[in-house]
Parts: sequence; structure tokens; C-alpha cells
Amino acid sequence: MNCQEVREQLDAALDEQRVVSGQTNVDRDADVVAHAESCPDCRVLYEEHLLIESALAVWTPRRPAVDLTDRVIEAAREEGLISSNGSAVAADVGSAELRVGQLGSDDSPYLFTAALPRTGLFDTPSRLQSRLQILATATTAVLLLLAAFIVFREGQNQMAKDERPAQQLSPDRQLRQLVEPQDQVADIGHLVADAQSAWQGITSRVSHQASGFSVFVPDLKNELGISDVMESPERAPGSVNPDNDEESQKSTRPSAVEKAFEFLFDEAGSGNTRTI
Amino acid sequence: MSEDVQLVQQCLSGDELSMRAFLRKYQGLVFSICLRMLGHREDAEDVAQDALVRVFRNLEKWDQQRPIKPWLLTIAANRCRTALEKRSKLPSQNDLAIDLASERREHSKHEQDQLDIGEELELALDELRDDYRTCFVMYHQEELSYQEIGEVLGCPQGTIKTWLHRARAQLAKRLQERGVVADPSALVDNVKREFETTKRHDVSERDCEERL
Repeated sequence: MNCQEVREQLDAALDEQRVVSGQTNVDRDADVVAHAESCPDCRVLYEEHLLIESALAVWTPRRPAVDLTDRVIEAAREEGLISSNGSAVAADVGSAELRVGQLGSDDSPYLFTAALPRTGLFDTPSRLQSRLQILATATTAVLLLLAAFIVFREGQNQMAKDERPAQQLSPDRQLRQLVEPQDQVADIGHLVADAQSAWQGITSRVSHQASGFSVFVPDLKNELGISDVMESPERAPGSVNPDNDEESQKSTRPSAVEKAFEFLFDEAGSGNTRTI
Repeated sequence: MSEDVQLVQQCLSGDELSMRAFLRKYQGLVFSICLRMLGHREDAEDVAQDALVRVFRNLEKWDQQRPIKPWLLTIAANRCRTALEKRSKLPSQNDLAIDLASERREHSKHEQDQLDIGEELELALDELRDDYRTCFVMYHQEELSYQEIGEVLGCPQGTIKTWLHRARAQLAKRLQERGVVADPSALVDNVKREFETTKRHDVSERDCEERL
């Protein structure tokens, strides 16, 4: 073992003594003792080592008595590091959860609030209470602003509606307003035309039925032996045959049966539909 | 969650009772290092108060994954260095030495012999250079590691080892100068005798085992 190794080993011995306080390791020092016998410098070093080792073995590090609690708390309060009410306040839910273990000694039936000291007013912790009040105030303010904005917008819209006819109508729009009665008349005309076309449809259908009936009548005449009926069943009442004026005049004289049918046609044409 | 973490979280919420509990637990540590570094009780109280208020102010900066003691000592040591820069150091015999001297008179003669060397070590500490004393106290009293002391004092581990070695050597010299041990070479002789006794005991045990 050389001198450097001796120094390292002695330092290591003191380090170890910190862990196992008050004990010396004679076995480990055997090599150091052997080297110190032949090395005066290392012998002096070893003597110092044994001295400090003995002192550390009986040294009881002491902490001088001091109580700075009130001074520090007061200084911390001045800096705002302590809750404003100055009492034992668990300021938020997190710290309240940390105190759940203390609930056994509290008579309060409420799990959450049992760990928290009371501060009056709403019977809640002051900082939590103040936070809730701030939140409620902020929410109310936002809602009021929103309501005011909505009312303002509605008022503006209403004003715009009221002013638009007088101020914002274009000349074309004004002209169209003047023309509007004529448009209404035109609409009525369209309705009348529709009614007329419907009427024509009805009369044509009745005429078709009537023509079928007129086919039936000559057959009936033949069976009854009546001769003074018109020759052509398709011939319309009152029609003129240009080829034979005399026959046409003769045929234009309606018989009683034809008069009866004409009456029926007229009735059909007037809208009084009947089952024939 | 460790006890310290829980306590710190409650302190962060502004809970005065928790802050008082924190102070009861750690004010002695902070004040002790302040008194070691400043050597004056009133100054140490003022600086310790300042350091503890700074602790509460910066509590959220503490890394909860690491022990809190080195962090506290770092703040205290910084405040002490600032205070030392503002004033010259007081005379060598400080208030702590006076306290020890008064306690010393209260012990019996038998206890006195046991206390002497330990208290002489305490007095010898006051005569050390500030860096050496702080390093020695943090290592042997607060039981910080080399690395933690290096972080507190802002020095590499090699420097801390050197300072600690020199502190021990100077303390041993102070103890010799104060005559705590009349003949230091007797300590070596005692070790040699103890070593030889142990050696003979081992030899005799081996002889017995061989005879059996």
C-alpha cells in the first residue's frame, strides 16, 4: 500500500463511519497500520484520522433551539402566501382530499366538508367560497351581456323593418305596387277562363252522351214504324242540308219526339245533368 | 404520496396550520446551517426567517421527485452567502460556542470526559473556513451525499471531497492543539494493540479448531 492509497482508505473509512456511526474497523486498518510503521507522514495522517474518528464517534450534532414560526408566518402573511382569513383553511378540493384521513375525529356527517373549517356566511371555506362567487358573478355578467346583445339585435331588426317601406323601396317596386290591382284583375280573368273551359268540357261530354242517345232513337223509330224522323242519326238538330233545301226544310221541322230530346239536350247543356 | 409532498401541497394552498407544521419540521435544519455559516445567532435568525419565507414563496418549484432537505439547504446557504457578503464575519467565538460552554458546566466530571472531545470538535468547527465547515456539517450532520452537497454549494463533487478531507485534517490539528488527546501516537499504538489482540484471538481459535 502506498501513501495515496492510505489517504483514500482513511477518507473512505470516515465516510463509512458516517453510515455505521461510532464503529472503527480494525481489520481494514491493518494495512494502513503496517504502512504507517514505515512512513512518518502517513503515521501523522493516521493519527489525525484516529483523532477525528474518535471525535465523530462521540459527537452529537445538535440543533440550537429556535422558534421562528410566528415570525415566518407573519412575514408570509404580509406577502399574501397565507389564506386571507388566517385560519386553518384547506383552500381547495385537492387539499380537502388530503385531509380525508382526519375525518374520523369530526362529528360532521358530511364527508367533504367535515375536513374543512367553517368560516361563516355560506358555511364554506373562504377561498373556495370566493372562487365560487367569482364564477357565479362572471357567469351572470356573461348572461346579462348576451341578453343585452340579443335585445339590441332584435331592436335593430325591428327598426329596419319599420323604415324599409318608406326609405328603401326602389322605383320598380313602387311601380309594381301600382300595377298590382291590374294583376288581380288578370288573375280573376284566368279564373273565369278556367271556369269556362271546365264548362265546355262538361257540355262536350253531355253532347257525346246525347249523340249516343240520338243513335238509339232512330232504331227505336224503325222498330215503332215512325217515318217522319230525320234520316241521319248524326245530324244535329237545326243543321242545314245544302243539297236538298226542301228536304232540309222538311227535316228541320221537329217532331214531338225530337222536341222532347231537344228539351233534354237543353237541360243537359244548362248543367242539370240527369241520368238518361 | 410522501409525507413531505402532502405537507407541501397543503402549504401551497395557503393552509396556515400546514405551514406551521412545515416550519416545526424544518426550521431547525435551516437555522442550524445559517448559524454554522454566519456564526451569529441574531443574524442567523434573520437570515433563516428570510430563507424560510423564500421557501414558501418558491415551494411550487421544488421537484417532488427529489428529497426536500438539499433544496432547503440550498436556499439557506444562498441567503447566508448573501448575508456574508454584506457584512464582515463576527469574531471566532460565536453564540453557539457560548451555548456549548454554558451547557458544559452542567455536566458531571465523568460525563465531561465523554463530552470533551465531541464539544471540542464543535468548537473547532467554528475556526474552520466557511466552505470547509459547511461541507463538513452537511456531510456529517445533515448526512447529504457528495453530489447533494455539490448541488447545494454549486461545486463539483471533486471539490467537495477535497474540502471535506481538508476540513477533517484541520479539525484533527485543532483537536491536537487543544490537547484533547495528550499523546496522539498513543492512538496508533492502541490500534496496533487492538489489532494484535484480534490477531492472537484468531490464531488461538484456529488452534482450537485444529486440535478438535
